[in-house]
Amino acid sequence: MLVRLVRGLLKAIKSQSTQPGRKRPEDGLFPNGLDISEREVVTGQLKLSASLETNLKNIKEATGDSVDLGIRRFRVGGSQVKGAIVYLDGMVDSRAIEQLIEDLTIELFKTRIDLADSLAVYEAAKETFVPQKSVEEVSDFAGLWDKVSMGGTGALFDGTNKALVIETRGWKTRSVEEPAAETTLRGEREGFIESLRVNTSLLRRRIRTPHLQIKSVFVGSLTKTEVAYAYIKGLASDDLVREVHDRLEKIDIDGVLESGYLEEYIEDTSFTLFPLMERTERPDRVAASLLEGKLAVFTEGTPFVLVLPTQLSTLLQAPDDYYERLPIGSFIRVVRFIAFTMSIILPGFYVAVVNFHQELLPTVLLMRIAASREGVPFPAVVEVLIMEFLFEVLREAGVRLPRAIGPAVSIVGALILGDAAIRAGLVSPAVVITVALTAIASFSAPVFSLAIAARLLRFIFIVLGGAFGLFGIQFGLLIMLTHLSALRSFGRPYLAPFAPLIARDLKDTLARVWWWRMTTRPKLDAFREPKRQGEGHEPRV
Amino acid sequence: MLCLAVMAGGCWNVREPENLVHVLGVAFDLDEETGLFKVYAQVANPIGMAGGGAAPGGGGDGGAQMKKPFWVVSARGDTPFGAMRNLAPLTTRELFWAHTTVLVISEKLARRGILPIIDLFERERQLRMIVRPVVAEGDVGKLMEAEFPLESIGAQGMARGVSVIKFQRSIFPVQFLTEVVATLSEPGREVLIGRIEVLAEEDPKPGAPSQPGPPKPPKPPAKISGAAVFRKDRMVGWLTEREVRGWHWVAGRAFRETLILSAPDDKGKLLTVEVTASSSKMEPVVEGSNVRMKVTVKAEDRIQDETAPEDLTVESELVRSLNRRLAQVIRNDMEMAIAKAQEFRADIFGFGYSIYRTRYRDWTRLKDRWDEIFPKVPVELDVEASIRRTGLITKSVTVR
Amino acid sequence: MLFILFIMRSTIVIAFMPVLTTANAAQDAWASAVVAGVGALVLVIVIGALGTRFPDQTLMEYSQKLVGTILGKIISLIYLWVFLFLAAIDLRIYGEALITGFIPETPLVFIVTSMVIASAFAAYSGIEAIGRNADFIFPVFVAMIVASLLAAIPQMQLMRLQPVLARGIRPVLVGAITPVAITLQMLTLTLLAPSVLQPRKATRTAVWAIIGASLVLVASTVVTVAVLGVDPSARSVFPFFRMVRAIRLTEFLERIEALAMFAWGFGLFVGVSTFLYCGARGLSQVLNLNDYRPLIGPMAVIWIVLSIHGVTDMFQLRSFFRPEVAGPYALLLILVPQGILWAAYAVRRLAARESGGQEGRAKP
Repeated sequence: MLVRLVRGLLKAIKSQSTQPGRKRPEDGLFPNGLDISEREVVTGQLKLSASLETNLKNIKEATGDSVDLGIRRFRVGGSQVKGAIVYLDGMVDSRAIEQLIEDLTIELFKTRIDLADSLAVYEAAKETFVPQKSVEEVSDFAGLWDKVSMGGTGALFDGTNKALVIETRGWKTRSVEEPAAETTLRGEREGFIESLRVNTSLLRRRIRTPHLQIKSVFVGSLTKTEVAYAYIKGLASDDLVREVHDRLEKIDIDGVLESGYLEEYIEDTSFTLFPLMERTERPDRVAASLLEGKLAVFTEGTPFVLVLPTQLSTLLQAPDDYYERLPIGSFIRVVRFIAFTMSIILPGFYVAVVNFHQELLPTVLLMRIAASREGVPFPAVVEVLIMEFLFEVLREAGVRLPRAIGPAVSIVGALILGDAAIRAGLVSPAVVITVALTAIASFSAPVFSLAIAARLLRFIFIVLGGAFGLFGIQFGLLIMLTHLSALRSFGRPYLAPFAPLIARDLKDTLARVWWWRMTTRPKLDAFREPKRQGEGHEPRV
Repeated sequence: MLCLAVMAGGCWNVREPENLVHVLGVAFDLDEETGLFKVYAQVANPIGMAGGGAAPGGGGDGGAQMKKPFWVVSARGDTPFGAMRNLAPLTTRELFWAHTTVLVISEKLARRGILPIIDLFERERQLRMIVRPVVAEGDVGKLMEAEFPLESIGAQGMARGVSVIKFQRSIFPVQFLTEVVATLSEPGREVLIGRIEVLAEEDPKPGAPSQPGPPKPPKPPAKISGAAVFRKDRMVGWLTEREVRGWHWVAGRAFRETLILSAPDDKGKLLTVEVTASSSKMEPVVEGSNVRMKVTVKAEDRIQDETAPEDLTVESELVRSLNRRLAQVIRNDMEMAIAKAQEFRADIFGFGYSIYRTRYRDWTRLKDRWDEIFPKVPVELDVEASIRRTGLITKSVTVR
Repeated sequence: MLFILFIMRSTIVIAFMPVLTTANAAQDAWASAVVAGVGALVLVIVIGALGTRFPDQTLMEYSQKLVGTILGKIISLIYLWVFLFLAAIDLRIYGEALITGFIPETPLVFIVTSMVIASAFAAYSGIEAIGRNADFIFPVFVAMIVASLLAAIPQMQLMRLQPVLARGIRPVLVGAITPVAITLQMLTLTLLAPSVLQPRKATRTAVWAIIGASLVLVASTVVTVAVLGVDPSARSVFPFFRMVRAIRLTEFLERIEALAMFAWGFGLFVGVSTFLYCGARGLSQVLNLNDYRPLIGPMAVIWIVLSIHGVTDMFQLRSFFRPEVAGPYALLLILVPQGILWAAYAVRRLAARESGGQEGRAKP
């Protein structure tokens, strides 16, 4: 009972000390000790007042007079109406700011209005700028800051409890470059960048129909990140669009720094190693997916766009497949499927065969493997696990290292370490070959998130293969297959069109057919409008 | 932790490859004194096979300087499998049998009956039915120990030898053990297994000092030709090269064979003809209890060497007469083979089987007496040989 | 569903080729396979046709409607026993094959348990997951079988199939009994049909599955006999695998039976997970439960126990598949309950016609 009493007392003290309603006048807007959520509440309630000075004071207080906050005061045309513009340095185009001040002072002066009437001045300013720039009217601090933090400039006038926000965005972005993680031999060299607007424009340039619709949602209570989703109205399923919108709206998170955050919130299930949406930085990939009735989610601040729903077979397709001529395009795709399978089970298979099913190997090969293992101190499983682990370390180091010394590490790691390990008799050459082959195979996955899934699965298969041989591998495959069969990406079966089997859509899986033969879109995603293009347009001599 | 789990979890069948040694050839013999089975296993030396300096430690310190890349170990036992397991105390590593490619059966054992061996190969999971069976004439132990020139491992050499011989000669029945088993179980058909003949070594003269000098060039240790004839599962005798050739004609299995004829104008010159393809058709004629066999053989040939001055450039009576002579040679082979088989009372051609297949009712009547009928079955031979081409030239150089 | 039924049937009939091993049809085993196919077709139509009259209901539901709750439940339980039993036997054969041919030191319980765990996982994920598994496995399965058969062609000697039908038709018919008896597995149709998109076409699908599986059986019988010879294949415990063991295309492509075993494992998995799903679903309906999932765990345990302790050794397993044992047993289990249901259905149709005076429901 005593405990409860003390606890209650503490609570009372705490609530007293932090309650915003009880602030003393000298505390200003934010009494000491306000937590972030409480500060949010205060700023959310903060209205703009008619007094410019109060407004500026509030703004300074809310932002703690941050160093990048720029406030410039002016008088409209030398009259009594004071004004100020508020912006964030570095986020705005400085020329635009100069222009703006010029407009607000000299240009406004030229208009024949009563320059003493602050309301008239405000209206005139609004009228003047509407045709030139995007101007919005806000009446509270939250609205003002919302724009300013995105590169807008707020114009406040004394005597008006509203503010104008003028679009002056002008921060530096990286220029559009070739995507680093997804390269193609043939195909465009443009990749998405960190700016959402640039990204949507890249998409717009590829699909010009007005029915390409882009909607946005703001996610993150602190970061307030803009998240936009794009789809082709009338092609993408309305239910899907609504579902995506709802799932995005429902996200309650303080910050979104990368689309990966969203991915975990909106995927169908988190208990899987497989990516349930495609992550790409290639506009052509996104455009192609939208044309099949899919949906793309752009996130401010990251070049990685989520494309959903997705299927396993889609994740193994690369743009080159479509750009190259048909035979080679199909061939490389088959190679990729094989490589992906290899990257999952090859080391496990090696361990299983070497430890359990020696009869599967040709005699000479087996004896060579046995001879090379002569004197290796570890069992084959451990040997493979060690090498795989070593390889993962190398790969991680290669990613983290500064570009300049990356190659040096790979040389030391791959060549010297591998060679020395073999010479020292620590590992057998066969294992090094297996691991290297697997690694190379895993690089052929066009979508990196899939390669990661394969990396983890590989370890599971090594353990299964080492413990139970091919039987263990089979067990693993069965479980994996069942898991994949049960997986859904936004309600669409993950293994489609293989399982459930959709014969029509097999035309673009392991191999593809000619473009003029691709007369239908995928059944599941574009069921509204299955016809893609007319039939019978094959080239004729 | 993970490793521990793996270790403890399921090591029921884990075999680290370096703990195994691979038996590449196996031989069974009969130990006459004790009546036990004697097994020879030819095991690949795991270090010797590494080849190309891949052995740990590189060159130089190869440590165990085993002379041969293989090792032969033998043991006795009451049953073939028992004998195989009796090898275990003699070896430091586990013997692994799945890569066995050749099965050598000694003549003694073959005459005693090969059923125990067949059963072992059918039943045991590591042994395969796709080994090459041979019957050895001569000392089996010596054969297994023999080093074949060009081959690092004797058993692999034997297996290779008995399978590639068909590309040049038809004097050895090339088959897998599967076929032997099938044949054993089929009515009216007896087994023929190829022969491998151990060639005698020249013994160094007793008392002569082993002179250091340069090593003598190696001699082939064995010869692959001929075949052992079986009745049921017991060997009853040998067929010579020529008789086996006759068997190939009858069975339509001759693939490549060299025949030598005397030149048509008979000036003591010989010409060689190589058979390039052959086929045969066997047709039983059953009238009451009289059985006759009609065998039609077709052979295609090409001329290999011919130095006689005949002109074989265009179609002529000469070519036709050559064809007739050729047919006669083939017929002689077949007659020899049939006579020998009838002498052994072993229906290696499957005459009975052809009755069984095509005239089942007659077979049910004849099958009990087939052993007596077969030796007396007359065989009509119809051979058609045709020389199709003459190689790259039409005739020899005209020496002037 | 086509794939589920196809794989289920092909797996078991190829596994130990009852047409060859259970009777002395010898070189005419392929004819047995054909006869068995026809027999299975008849049974499937009998089973399926009643289901098409109740397209939205499982057998557990409509049997209670036709013959009353108690009898309906008894019939349902009999069928559940069939699923249980068949799956246990399937598992056991698979386990025996693995132990005989591949991993002799691994405990049977381990093999069976892991297979059941995988199947239970699939059954737990629902019939859609099983169906998709089957969709995915089907091409692999067929490819493996076809590849095995093609690889065996160089070693085939078609004369081993002669004389054709020389011993008369009796051995052929006897050889067909056991495979027909295994048609018991097609009873799953009664539980699967309501889950497919077009329940009315379920029977047609099952018929195609049987035809496909029979073709596979005929082909593999022919190849096996032609490669191994009549007697060696009839003496084999697992003729198909022995045939694959005998394949040798090149130095590299030999001893590939572990891969064929792989295919078998896949097929078995589809079969067992279907049985498990049907068993759990059926039982949940008999017990009037809403969800079948909670039943999977306990049922899986029962199956493991049954498949290990239900049969003590290979001799017992093989004697069960003698035609004179399996035949009557299966016929009893299929025909008696089906007969009762059909009779009840006929009686009710007649009664409805007399009372209603008008045409009953249109014949499907």
